[in-house]
Parts: sequence; C-alpha cells; structure tokens
Amino acid sequence: MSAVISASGLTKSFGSTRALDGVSFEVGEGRIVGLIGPNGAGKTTALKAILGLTSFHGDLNVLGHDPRKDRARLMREVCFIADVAVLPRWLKVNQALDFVEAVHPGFQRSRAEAFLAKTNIDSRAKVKALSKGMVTQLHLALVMAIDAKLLVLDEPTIGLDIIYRKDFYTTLLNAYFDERRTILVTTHQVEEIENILTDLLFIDRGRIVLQSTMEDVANDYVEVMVKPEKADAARQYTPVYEREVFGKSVFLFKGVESQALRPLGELRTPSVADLFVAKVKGMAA
Amino acid sequence: MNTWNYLLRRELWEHRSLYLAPIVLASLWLVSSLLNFGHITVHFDFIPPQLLEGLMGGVSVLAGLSFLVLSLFLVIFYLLDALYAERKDRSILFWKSLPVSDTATVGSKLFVGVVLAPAIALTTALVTQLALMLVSSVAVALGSGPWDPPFSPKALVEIYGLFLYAAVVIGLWYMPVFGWLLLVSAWGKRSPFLWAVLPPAAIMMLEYNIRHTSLLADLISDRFIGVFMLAFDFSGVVERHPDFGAPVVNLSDIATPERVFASPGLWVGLLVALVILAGAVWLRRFRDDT
Repeated sequence: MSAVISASGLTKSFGSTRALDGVSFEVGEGRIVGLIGPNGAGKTTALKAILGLTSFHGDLNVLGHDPRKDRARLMREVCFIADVAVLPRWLKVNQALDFVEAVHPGFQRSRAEAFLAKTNIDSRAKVKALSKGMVTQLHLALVMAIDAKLLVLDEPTIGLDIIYRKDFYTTLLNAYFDERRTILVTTHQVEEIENILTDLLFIDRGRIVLQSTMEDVANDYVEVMVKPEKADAARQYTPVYEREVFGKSVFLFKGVESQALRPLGELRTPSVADLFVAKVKGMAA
Repeated sequence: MNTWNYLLRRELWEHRSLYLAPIVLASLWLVSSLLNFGHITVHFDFIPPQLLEGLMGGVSVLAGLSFLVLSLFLVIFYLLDALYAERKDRSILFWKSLPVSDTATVGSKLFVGVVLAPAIALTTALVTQLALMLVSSVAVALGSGPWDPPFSPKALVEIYGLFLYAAVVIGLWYMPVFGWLLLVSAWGKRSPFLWAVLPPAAIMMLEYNIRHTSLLADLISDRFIGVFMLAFDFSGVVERHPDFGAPVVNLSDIATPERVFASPGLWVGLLVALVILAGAVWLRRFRDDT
C-alpha cells in the first residue's frame, strides 16, 4: 500500500489557538477516509494544508508533492469540492465545461456531459439559475470527469436535501470510485458516510485521536448494553466510555475478549458517531 | 496556450461591461449623430461647409476622447474587482481546484486590464469615428453640398498611431498604479476602492501634518502626470504653424518615445510594479479567508 498522503508534525496556529498541533497520519491508495471532528477541531485546516491552500509547519507529502510549493502541478492529480456554493453565479454550464476542458489535461468532457444528461440541468443555464442541489450535481459532474488520484470533499453535502445527499454518495461510489483512487471526506453527517468509509481519522483540538481502518474498529471495539444490576461487573473490564440509554448503561470496550463480555449483554460494533463521542469525551475526562 | 486563451475568456464572461460599455457608448454616439447631423444640415444649410467640417471634426475627436475616459474607468474598476470578486462570491476555491498557477491567473487579469480592455475600447472608438464621419459626410452632402471629410485617411492613421503610442507609453508608465489596484483587490476584505484610495491619502495627510512635506503627494502626482511631459513635445507643432492654422498632426513630430524609454522613472516604476504584482500573486496564493 503506497501512501497518497503522508503528514508528520503538521502544526498551524491562528493567534494563540492551535488549529493543528503536531498532526501525523497516512492515507493509502484506494482508501475512502473519513476525517471526523467537532467544529474548530482542525479538519478544514488539515484539508487546506493538503490542498496547498494554506501555510503550515511540518512535513507533508501529497502524491510526491509538497503542497506549499507546487499547488498548480498538484491540482492535476487532486480534485476537491470545498462547499456547495463555490461555483460563480455568472458562469454558464457550458462555459464551466469549456473552461475545465481547456485548463485540465485530465478532464474528459464526454464523461461530464453524460452525467449532466441524467440531470435536469440546462447546459445554457447560468449557475445562479440552478437550485442548490443542481449546483452540487454540476460540480460533481465536473469533478468526476477528472481523472484524479485523490479527491477531497469538505462537507460536500451541507445544505442539501436528503435525496440529493443520498444520491451524491451513491453516484460517487458507483460512477467514480475504484481501487486506484483515494477519497478524503469530512462531514457532520457521519451516519451518511459510515457505510462507504474504509478508514477513520478522528481529530480533536488539533490532534489526531484515532487513526484506524473500519475493520480494525470492528475487531478492537465492542459496545455492550448492560442492565443496571450488571453495570459494576462490566466496569471491571475498564470500559473506554460509558453512557446511559433508557436507564441501561452502554459500555464501550477496547481489546476485551468478546467471550468475557457476552454474559453482560448483547454485543455490537459501535457506530462511528458513538465511537467518536467516546473518543473525544473520553479524552476530555 | 489554450489555458491562457480561456483565462482571458473567463474574464470577459465575468466582466461583460468590458465590451458592453464601449458598444453602448458607440450606439449613443451613432444614434445622436443620426438625429443631430440630419437636423443641423437640414435647418442650418446656410452654414458654410468649411465650418461644418470643423464641427464634425470636433465631434469626432470628442467621441474618441469619450472612449479614452470610458476605458480608464473600466480598467480601474475591473482591476479593483479582478481578485476581489472571486473571494467575495467564494468561487476562488473552485478556481484554485484547477491546475492553473496563481501567477498565470494574476497575469491573465493584468493582461485583460492593461491590454485587452483598452484594445477593445480603442477598436470600438475607431469604428465609431469612421461611422460618424460616414454619417456626417452623407448628411452634409444632402444639406450644404459636397464637402471634404474632416480627416483624410492618412490623418486618421496618424491619429490612431498617436493613440496607440499614448496607450502603450501611458500603460507602461502607469504599471505601478495598475499593480496597486490588483494588490488591493487581492487584499481588501471589502470595498477595494476605499482601500486603494484612503491609505495613500491618510499617509499624505500625516506626512503633511507631521513633517510639513509632500513627498508622497509629489511622487503620486508625478506618476500620474509625468508621462505626458516626457511622451509628447508640442513645441515643434506650434513653431511650424505660427498662424494657428489647422495643425498637421505628424506623429514623428510630437511623439518622443526616446525620452520616455531613457527616463529612469519608467524603469523604476516597472520594477516597483513587478514587486507589487508579486505581492498580489503571493496574496492570492496564501491569503486564506474562506
């Protein structure tokens, strides 16, 4: 597995706050990585560093490039959608196709047109005449027609209807993703992408608090819902986190034999959201 | 090459006023000339053709000047907007997601402002003047009788040669000003026009109140006016026509490019412009306010 991104000791401060505080991680080829963290945790700053949009300290290698030096060259192999509303309002759909075709050596116009043909987008329309969902579809059509090695999505579905949101990820998986490509995505709607991720990166207060594949998460972590009378027995196994649901306690264990836990209650793999809360709150405690 | 071509098109897609405004101005001149020349020649056919000639010539020159003033305004406001609009509408991240360097982007915007926009305005001006002359010739021929057009084709070529020369020389001389407009456009969070004007004005006032000097004011006014003293020499024209007959405009007589290109002011200005433009590129590269 060759590394598409390798970061080591990334640091970036805004005044006295450290947006990135010595962040190190690796992203391998063909992975779909969820970069997950609360607001202000440093997600967007990390993505901006990877895309060459901001300055920082530390070592960062993206597809063999230092993003600080060679942004334009890097953008031949990296695509990103930073937010939904970034296409300029005056741009016409066919102008967008013309422009990207002219400046991007990896752009296949026919692919973008085939994708747009499945939508209700008129190629003569201006962006300002399109609905929010259509703008996202247009942006996605442009990006998916680019033969890029790394696709970075920062809250790509924010402000979208639920139908578009589902569509977005389905299209991405079916029409775009293959083992040569790598996707790095951040979102608040963890549940939406949980099923497509291969890797997790949790970030909190500028630090990486978890880096793991989904498989390892399923192997290492187990959640047990325990009746009150067995709660003390459960605590003996030093749970990572404990929370109350309908008067029952839910314990999260890491690296404890499932054999031992089975008598306590029903075992299941924690959801990404629950794992995240446990990790972040567990750290704070 | 294709990238450059589309970078320029991109600017015209966004800033349609760069070609629409000259077209509107041209239509205004043509419509008003159609209305007025007809009126003048029909009701004032006692006016001798020679006087009409002068009148039409004056109108034609006025039309040319109006395009110069228009292109000055278009260029100033285009350059102030060029790197500001993409930050304001947050499309900058889309543009930056494409493999186009910040140098190429800023370069394309400078080229549009300094070369393409004035070229569009001057071409429209030429077409308008030709059309005005055609309209007036026909009008006069119908009224007072046949006449000579105010400018011979040779004179017209010379006038436009002079325009072109003035545009090139002034463009080079004003380069630090254009660069400053782009820099402010890449920098200001809002209202780039005020950012362009207020800080220099504030420094000028401070300087005057504290040190009782006007170095910056002198520097700026020299940057705006200095080029005209260097680029043209009208003394020869006046000497050769002591009776103030219609001066024969001869490009080689009044244009003095050698004085401009020998002036350190030009080269220092270009160097300063280069530094300012590098600053604009740097700001677009690393300014992060999204």
